[in-house]
Order: sequence, then structure tokens, then C-alpha cells
Amino acid sequence: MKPLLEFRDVVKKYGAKSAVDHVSFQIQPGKIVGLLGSNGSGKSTMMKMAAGITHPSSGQVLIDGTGVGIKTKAITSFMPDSTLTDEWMRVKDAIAFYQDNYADFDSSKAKDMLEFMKLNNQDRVNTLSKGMKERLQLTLTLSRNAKLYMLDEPIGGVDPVARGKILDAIVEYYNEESSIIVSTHLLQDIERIFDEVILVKNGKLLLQDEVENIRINKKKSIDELFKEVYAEC
Amino acid sequence: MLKLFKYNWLRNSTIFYATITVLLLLQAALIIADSYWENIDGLILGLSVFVFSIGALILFTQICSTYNINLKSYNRRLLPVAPIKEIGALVLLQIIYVLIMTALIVIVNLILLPKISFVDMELIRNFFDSPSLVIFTFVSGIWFAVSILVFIMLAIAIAACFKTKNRVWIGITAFIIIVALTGYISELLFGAGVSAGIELTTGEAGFKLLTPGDKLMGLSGEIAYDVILMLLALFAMTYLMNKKIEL
Repeated sequence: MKPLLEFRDVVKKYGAKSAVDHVSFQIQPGKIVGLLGSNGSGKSTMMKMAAGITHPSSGQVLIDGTGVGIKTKAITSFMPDSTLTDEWMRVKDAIAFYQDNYADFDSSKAKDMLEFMKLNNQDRVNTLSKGMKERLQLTLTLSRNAKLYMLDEPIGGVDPVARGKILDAIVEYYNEESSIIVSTHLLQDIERIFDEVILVKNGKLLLQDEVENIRINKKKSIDELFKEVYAEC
Repeated sequence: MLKLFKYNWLRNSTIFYATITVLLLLQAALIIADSYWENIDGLILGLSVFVFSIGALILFTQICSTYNINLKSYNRRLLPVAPIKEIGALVLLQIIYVLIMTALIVIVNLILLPKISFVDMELIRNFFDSPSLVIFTFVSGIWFAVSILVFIMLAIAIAACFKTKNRVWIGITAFIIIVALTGYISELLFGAGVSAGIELTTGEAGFKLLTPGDKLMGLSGEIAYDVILMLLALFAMTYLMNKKIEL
């Protein structure tokens, strides 16, 4: 089967420092993958390269067999850790922006998600709390019928209620024929949704495996493995 | 491109409407003031030009700022859209602003200029009686406005490739170098003299279009040079947006 996302010996350097260091992996369709690592381990950089807003210093990033570019942006839905909306926008403007600019945007899904997330169309984006902003970002990202979804720290800095709501939405609204990559270092609540995890540390790939294999072979939960690997970070 | 234009317009609409409203109120005040104090015609006309200049500068700065913001916005950089459409949407906004400002300048001056004692209305009528002059002035104005915007956008794009604190200065330096270099090459190729313009003559002739041999075709070299510069700038911006500018 053709991988949905493939990193081939990817390096990303900022000056002399390698943010991503000779990383290679593949992600198959239909998986929820956790991209795990401590702060500064290269998770966001890897997602940004796949989203086409940062470029590898060497190596190749392929999405559905194609090098990252306009075509792959059309099938990739990325939720960054920064805002996806403009300050002047209301919730309805943000929805309209996505509807106007993405052919795969599903308006009825967006409407359902807005209700599920308890977001009001008339609310100004810049008056929303951090948790509500995260909910809006997730609504925009998951309302597309993309092949690959990438969520960068979707539960970072939000309260446990919002966190639960966001995780429920991910499971409820993601398209099962596509894959979803979630980067995080907060594992307690989220590990239940992963099929597979990728562990990165200092820009290097440490491990890629099915969650079940890790539980059976290492006899550890993902959270315990994470704490062990990143103990000294 | 039109969809991007729509969101650029929406982002800037508040400042646009505010600028136009204040500008019109000030122009109206100047027209009224001129009716009361006839001996300050020169000052009134000067202030009118100044107010229009400030209005145009605010709108122009707004477009440059929008490009800078768009380069750093996730919602724009993630779109499956060719960078040239992002640039085109802002150029279109600039052209529309120029058209609106031109219309306002014409309307205000239709009222104001006849009240100014030292303005020779016959000369102005001569100007508008010559369609080639009006078209030449208008097209030159639009071309100048678009060219200057594209070169400033190129400087902004160059600055955006760097992640240092001093990138504002990198942008300013890049703009100065671009303008100096293109000006120098133009001078080498075509000489220092102005080869196209509007000549104001005394007597019946009034205004006349001044070109080599009085034919626009005589300018083909300079026009080609300007078009090539514009295409190179657009190519460079597209390349930088595709390959170099990162978030």
C-alpha cells in the first residue's frame, strides 16, 4: 500500500543546529498516529515540513507519493500551534474563509462541529478563550475531507474539560479513510486514541510502533514509555 | 485570486472606509473654507494635495502591511494556491484603491479648482480634451503605483527569508538596492533624460505628450525594460514564497 506520508532521510537545519536529523518513516492510511517528544524535539518542524510551510535542508517529504507543494496542500489539513484565523474575523468569517478556499471543506460537518464545540457563529475570534480558540482551530481543520490531518499540540494549555471535548471531536469527526497525526507531550488523556506512535528526541527518530505492540512487548503504557525515554529532558 | 482579494479587502475595509471618510470630510472643509477666505487659495490647494497624499499613503502602507502579514499567516501559507495569486490579489487591491482615489481627486477638484483664482481652467480643459494625454497619464499612474508596490513587496519577501530581529533593515536595504540598481541599468541603457512625459507649453498648445519622435512606439525599449523588471520581480517573489520563506 502507498504510504500517505513518507519522510526520506529528512534533515532540517537552523544554522548549525539540526532540528530534524536524518529522519525516515512512513505512515499508512487509516491510522491515528501520535508524534511524541519533549519540547524542542522537532515535532512541529516535521509537521510544518509536511504542511509545506517549512522546507527540508535535505531529504524528501512525500504525501500520497507526491513531493510537498500546492497539490499536497489540497489534501493535507494542518492545525498549527498558532492561530489559523485573522484578528478581524468572527467565527462565521473563519468558516467562510475555509469554505471559499478549500474544495474539500464540508459545511454540514462544520455546522455539526460548531454545535458540538459550543461555538457561536457571531463570536469574534479575538474574544475567544484559549480553549475555545483550540476548538475553533480543530473545527476548521477537521471540517475538511482531507487525506492527511496533522494536529500540532491540540490540547496544549487547555483545561481538562476542553481537552476531553477536543479528543472526543478528533475521534468523532476524523475521516476514517484518512490518517491523522497528533503531536503532543501530554499523554495521559490522549494515548487512548492512538493506533501508532512515533517517538522523536533531539530531532532524531527513536521509535515507530503500534501502540498494542508497545503494550505487549514492553509491558508499558505509552505514558510510562514516554516518561522513561524523556526522563532526563 | 478573487477569493484572496475578498479577504484582503475585508481585512482592510475598516481602515479604508475610515480613511476615505476623513479624507472627504477634510476636503469638504477645505472647499467651504475657500468660499469664506478667498485670499488663501494657495494654502487651500496645498492642503488639499497634502490630504490626498496622506490618504493615498495610508492605503498604500496598508497594502504593504497586508502582504507582510499574509507571509506570516498560517491561514494564507497553508492554502493550496500559487503564490502569484496571492501577489495578484494585492496588486488588484492597489489598482482598485488607485481608481477610487483618482475618482475622488477628480470629483473634489471639479468643485475646488474653479474656486482657485490662479488656476488656469482653460489649461485643464485642454488636458481633458486630449484623450491620449488623459489615457497616458492614467496608465502611467497605474503602472507606477503597481511597480512601486511590486518592488516593495519584493523587498518585504527578501526580508521575510531571514529570521533575525533586524529584518526590517534588511527589507529597507533591499528596496534601496533594487531601486538604485534598476535605475542605474535604465540610465546605462536609455540615458539620463526623461524620454516620456507631459510637456506644458505656453500659448494654444497647452499640454502635449512628449515622447521620442512624439510616438509611443519610440518608447518600446523602456516599456520592455519595465515589463521585464516587473516579471523578474514577480518571479523572484514567487520563488522566495515557494522555497525560502518559512513559518
